[in-house]
Amino acid sequence: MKQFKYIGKRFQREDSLERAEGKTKFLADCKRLNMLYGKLILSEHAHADFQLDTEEALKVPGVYKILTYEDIPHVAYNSMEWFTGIQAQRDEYILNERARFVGDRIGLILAESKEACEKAWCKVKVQYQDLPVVADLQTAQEDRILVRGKTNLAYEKNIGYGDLANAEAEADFIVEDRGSTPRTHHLAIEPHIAMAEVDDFGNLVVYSPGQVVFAAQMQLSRILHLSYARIRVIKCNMGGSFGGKQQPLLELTAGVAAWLTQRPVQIYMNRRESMIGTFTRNGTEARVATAVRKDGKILERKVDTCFDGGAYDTNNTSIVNAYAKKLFRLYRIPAQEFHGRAYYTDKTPGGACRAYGGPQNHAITEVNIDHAARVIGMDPCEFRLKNLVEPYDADPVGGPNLGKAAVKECLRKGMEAFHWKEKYAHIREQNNDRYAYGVGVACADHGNGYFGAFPEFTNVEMILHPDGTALVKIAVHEQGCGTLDSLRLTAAEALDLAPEKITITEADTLLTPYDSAGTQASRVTFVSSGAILQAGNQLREKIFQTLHEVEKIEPDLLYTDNGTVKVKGSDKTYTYGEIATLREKKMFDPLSVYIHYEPHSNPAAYAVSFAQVKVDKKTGLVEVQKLLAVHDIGQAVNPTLVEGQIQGGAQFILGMALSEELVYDSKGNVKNSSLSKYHTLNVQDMPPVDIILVESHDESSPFGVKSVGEMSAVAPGPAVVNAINHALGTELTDYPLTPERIIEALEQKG
Amino acid sequence: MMFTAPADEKELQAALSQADERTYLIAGGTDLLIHLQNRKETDCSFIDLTKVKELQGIREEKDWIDIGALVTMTELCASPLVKEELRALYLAAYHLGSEQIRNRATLGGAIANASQSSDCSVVLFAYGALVEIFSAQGERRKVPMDQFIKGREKTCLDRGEAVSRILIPRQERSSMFGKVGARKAVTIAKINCAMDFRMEEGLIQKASIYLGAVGVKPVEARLLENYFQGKSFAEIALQDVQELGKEEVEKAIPTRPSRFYKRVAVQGLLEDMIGALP
Amino acid sequence: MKIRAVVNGAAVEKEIDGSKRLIDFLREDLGLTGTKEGCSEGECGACTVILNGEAVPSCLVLAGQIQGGEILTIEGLEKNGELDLLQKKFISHGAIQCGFCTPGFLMSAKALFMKNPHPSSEEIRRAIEGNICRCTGYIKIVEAIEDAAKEME
Repeated sequence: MKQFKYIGKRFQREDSLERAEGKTKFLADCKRLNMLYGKLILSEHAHADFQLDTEEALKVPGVYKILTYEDIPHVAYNSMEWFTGIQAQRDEYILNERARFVGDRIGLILAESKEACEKAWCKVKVQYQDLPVVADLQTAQEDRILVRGKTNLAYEKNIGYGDLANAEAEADFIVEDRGSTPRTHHLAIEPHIAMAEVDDFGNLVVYSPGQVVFAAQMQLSRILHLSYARIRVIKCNMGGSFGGKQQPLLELTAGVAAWLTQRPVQIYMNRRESMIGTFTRNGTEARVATAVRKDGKILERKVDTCFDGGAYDTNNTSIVNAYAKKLFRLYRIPAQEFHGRAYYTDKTPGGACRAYGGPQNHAITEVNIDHAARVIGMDPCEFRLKNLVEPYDADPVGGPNLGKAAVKECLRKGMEAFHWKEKYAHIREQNNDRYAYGVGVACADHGNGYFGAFPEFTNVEMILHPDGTALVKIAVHEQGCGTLDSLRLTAAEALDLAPEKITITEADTLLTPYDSAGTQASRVTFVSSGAILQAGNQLREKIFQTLHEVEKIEPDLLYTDNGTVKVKGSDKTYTYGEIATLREKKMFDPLSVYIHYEPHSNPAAYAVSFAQVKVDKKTGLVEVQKLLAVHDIGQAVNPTLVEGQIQGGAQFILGMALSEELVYDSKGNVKNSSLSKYHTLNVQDMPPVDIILVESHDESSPFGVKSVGEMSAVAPGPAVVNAINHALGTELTDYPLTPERIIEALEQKG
Repeated sequence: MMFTAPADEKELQAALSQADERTYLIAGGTDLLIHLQNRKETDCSFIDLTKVKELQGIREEKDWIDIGALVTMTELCASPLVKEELRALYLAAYHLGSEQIRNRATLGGAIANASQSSDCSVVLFAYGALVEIFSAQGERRKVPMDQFIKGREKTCLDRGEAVSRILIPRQERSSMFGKVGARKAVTIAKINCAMDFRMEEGLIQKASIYLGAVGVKPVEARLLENYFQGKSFAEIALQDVQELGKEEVEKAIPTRPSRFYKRVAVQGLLEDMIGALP
Repeated sequence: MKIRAVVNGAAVEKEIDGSKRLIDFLREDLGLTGTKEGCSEGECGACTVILNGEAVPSCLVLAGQIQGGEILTIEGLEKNGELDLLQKKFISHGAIQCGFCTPGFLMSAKALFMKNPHPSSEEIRRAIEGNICRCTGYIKIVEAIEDAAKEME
């Protein structure tokens, strides 16, 4: 294994000082001269025509205007589209004429102060004429009531391979499970917000705490019929996203409002508005049937899944495909079939959410794997070991090669560290009338960008300044994970320059080179560090070439050492800054490169989680006592940040397993649109998380790295559910496993 | 909007006499400000009670423990008197909300909002507490807890009245509180229970037991009370208690869908409470 | 009304509407934007400030209620240009990711330390149970506070 100078070491984050001081300016902390505040009026009815009575609201001092559908450009868009080569159903508008979910945008209050916005909002009266509501997947499938058009079916996909009939004939058992996963809220602690203004040259400038500046630019260009060149979108500080800010939303509202009023506009949301009025993780209902042989070989699997797409098309195609993709890259299964359908419902539109489809998919399939192991009487880890993929396996449906897949190694290492065999065999001996104990395991796979599916490239401009510092212009969006710091270490490695001398930019459509897809799909560390490595190599060549040309030193004699170049057999040393100066002075050229980079692989990342639970059989409360997360990380760039991702990922997905669910009634009302009723894990619920990193060093990857941020938010969920089923002898598959669901299952079991 | 912060009862009297339908009394604000947001109320005025000196402090009297309406959950937890003598109230305060909320939430506010799952209410019902109400006329009336709370978010407070103090009768007692929420901490009770036993020579002379969150206001658990009457703690058979608890829940909410869960949860709750008795 | 209070050690006197929320007074009137708003109902802890020695949710306190009181916000943690021990530990332990919840966590931990300089792990957890973090899983935050507790004089 290659020894790195910077990569793999623990560095403190550069941006954490100002965050610890409370000095970081998030958008809500920023103001502009003459700025208007904007607050959306969201529908309180799930499907209705409406009239807005704004008379009283407009009398509130400081209210500037209240915009409705009549006032905005009538250009439909789809917020999921992130480049021009993708087209889904375009059915979203800045403001809507008819409300299609509780939380739909029906008006926009613009006022000189937040206070005036709030007061006006209290005084707006809405008269609704209700229309029939599709509040669940069952109703959606019946097609009696239509959200829009001729059918609620928004997208359908069949994909598979192998000889299904033959496999089934050979099987000893077909193990079937039906299960469901909830709609969940991303819960970035910073609620949604955006700001826009028209600059001194008449261009529209938008500040986006989002993940896709170029997509926001494209959407605004279409909506406002303005050229790209006149729209600049700048990534600003962001207080978390988790996919919730991946699809442009308030960026578009603020952009349009600023353009219409020619004034700066900041549109903000409160928690409830963020919960109901943006996007949620798609809920799913799945049926999984796995054909197994007594000796533990999986022969075939059929997965049939319905997706709750919500009121607009948004990510219907993406969620079905992202979910499907992950079915084929974890186990060696000779034949598989997937049938997925996304439906419109009168609910908050679906959107990207950490690990896109992976949590929903593995939630049911990994519980089904345990079920199959039980049926054939095999240890669930042994059963998995018999069927997991091997390094360099092909993707059976034509996706990119799996690369150096180390999932088996993860599982083996985890079994040992967790004392799996002993716990699995004996933990239930502690059970008593009140408490039951169990352990569970789950595996999961994830990708590294879009290679194999969508355009996947980025561009970097890397500049060495005469002061010896480096600027890396690249369009990335820091979401809080430490993206900038990770890339700084890769740049340090590539340039052989101390990290504190390197600046990585955040995305800005005017200043940073074009990037194909934004900060999504676990592509950033994998793709951007590849680009940075390539740029760094080229820049180092340029450094040597400069000394060759100017100082007439043979390049073979030159080597870098922490921001300097030394000459073999001589005590001569040049700093990077001196070389930059030499190059400009003698060669009339800055010391910089601009490169285009495309990855040519997309190895799978893997994680295996082990969980130990204590279940209160009288209250249904679950205590996760231990969690072990083993990751095929490829190569950790900064272990402190990697641990932070894994620990945070566990918090995220244990919520989906145990308590997080947006609950809707039959009229489409959200019953728990506040944090007092929507329960995420707090510090008292959070288990200790042990971590093992398996550094497999995928050869096709820059520095050997693989993804972790999304990957970490998958396996702990089904591992906990499997542990609960182990403890109780139940077959629970409906997430989240709330106390009520656990008690109900125990009562039914008798 | 108007804001006044009377410093004593006399100033409070003046403020109360000017209260209209848009005047709200605020102490910790932990419930009120959320209610106002939800109800889209604007242009309201506030009487801040937190500076009224007569509404503060815990007083130990011969027959009563007299707690000011402004006493916060944190103050209740820090009071040795409450911890020793009013175990149920201590536990309710200890497990209420989060640190930030406990620092603000007051005992007066907890009952004046009459939330159906209020942990403090169920305890004060069990204790047979009296609520002292102060009026704009400067009068004081004392109302028993079960008359003070009339229903879901309904109390007998009239406009121009404020809860001033809560009086808990003293006796040779052993009391206990427990709740089951959606999670370990910072949780609203799905079901809660308070028990107050008058003890005499190691025997339960009188049991007062209430269940909360199984109706619009705390419900007296008579079957349980009868069971405990005359027994020593050693004589309590957990299974019998759990069986009766289940009956109480079915009696209280015979048709609500939540009964399926609560009739099991009450058994766990009672097990924990019985286990924690001395 | 005229509000008089001590904010981060300095006397403040201002004519305000006493019925505005404390968080708005701090952010809008005093420009102390380090205090964040995450849920507006006292559930997330992002707006935590220290009022008269106690951690409170500034979204549920009215500005008029702080009359004569003493407030400490994130901006007041640093003393004479030196970071508070808690701030140092949050940084060195990697307890900060997006940073939006950080001021609230720091103020909750600070309030605990003001009352109890040597808290146990349980006391630390109880002090921050009202603060939600979506990034870190709390683990590095608890480690940072525990480490600070160890070093407290």
